Amino acid sequence: MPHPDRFSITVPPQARYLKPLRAFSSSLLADRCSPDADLLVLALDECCSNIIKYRCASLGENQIQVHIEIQDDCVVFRIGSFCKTDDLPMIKSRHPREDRPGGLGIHLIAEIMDRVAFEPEPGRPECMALILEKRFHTKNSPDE
Amino acid sequence: MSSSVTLAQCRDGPTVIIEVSGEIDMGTSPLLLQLIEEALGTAPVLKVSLRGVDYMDSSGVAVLVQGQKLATDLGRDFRILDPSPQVLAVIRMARLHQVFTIENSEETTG
Repeated sequence: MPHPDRFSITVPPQARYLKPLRAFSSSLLADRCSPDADLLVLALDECCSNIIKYRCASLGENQIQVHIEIQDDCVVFRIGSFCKTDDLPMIKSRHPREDRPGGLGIHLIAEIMDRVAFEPEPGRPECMALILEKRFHTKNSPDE
Repeated sequence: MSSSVTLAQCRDGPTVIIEVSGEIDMGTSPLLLQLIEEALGTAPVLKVSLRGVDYMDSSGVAVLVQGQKLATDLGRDFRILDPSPQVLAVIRMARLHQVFTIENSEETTG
């Protein structure tokens, strides 16, 4: 099995750094993940926007850590220290027409990605990383 | 380094058109919302042109939803004009393409 390509970027949790984060991820994904690249960038951007809006300061994190792993048949994003374990019940998708704030970004992420999961950060069980995975569908994919 | 959006406004009789270009994200969407709210204060018809928008995230969608709701409350007509392919894809993914009135100027003008 070929080695995956791995990339990482760390940015401060401020809205003005979303654009360079999008540019970085777009440059990596454009060639390998077409035609889904734009949507993958959107999903990643929504995750980081959620961190900026909601991540509790008590996590003690002052950076957004994004890891991107591109394999032949999928791409995996790992967003470090996404939330506290206690926050998980509050992270809910909502139907776009539902009249309550928040949740639309989560809805878009769920629409775009094949897998959305949380896993504890090593040595920090109170702190969860967000894992997103998108499989590439080729002509030989069994579900095509 | 910061996100960039350009907002311009013009009036054509009872219609105000807000021309948006650039990127709408959580850093720039409040500017768009403010302009929409101000325009709806006076204009019977508001069209938000999104032809020049390269990127829009859920915060942009939320602003459009807020604009639609405010227009309904005030008895105004709120329309999205010429959404770019990326914008239209996000609106469709949010399942709001049948909620908004989306107008294509090429179709309108023939």
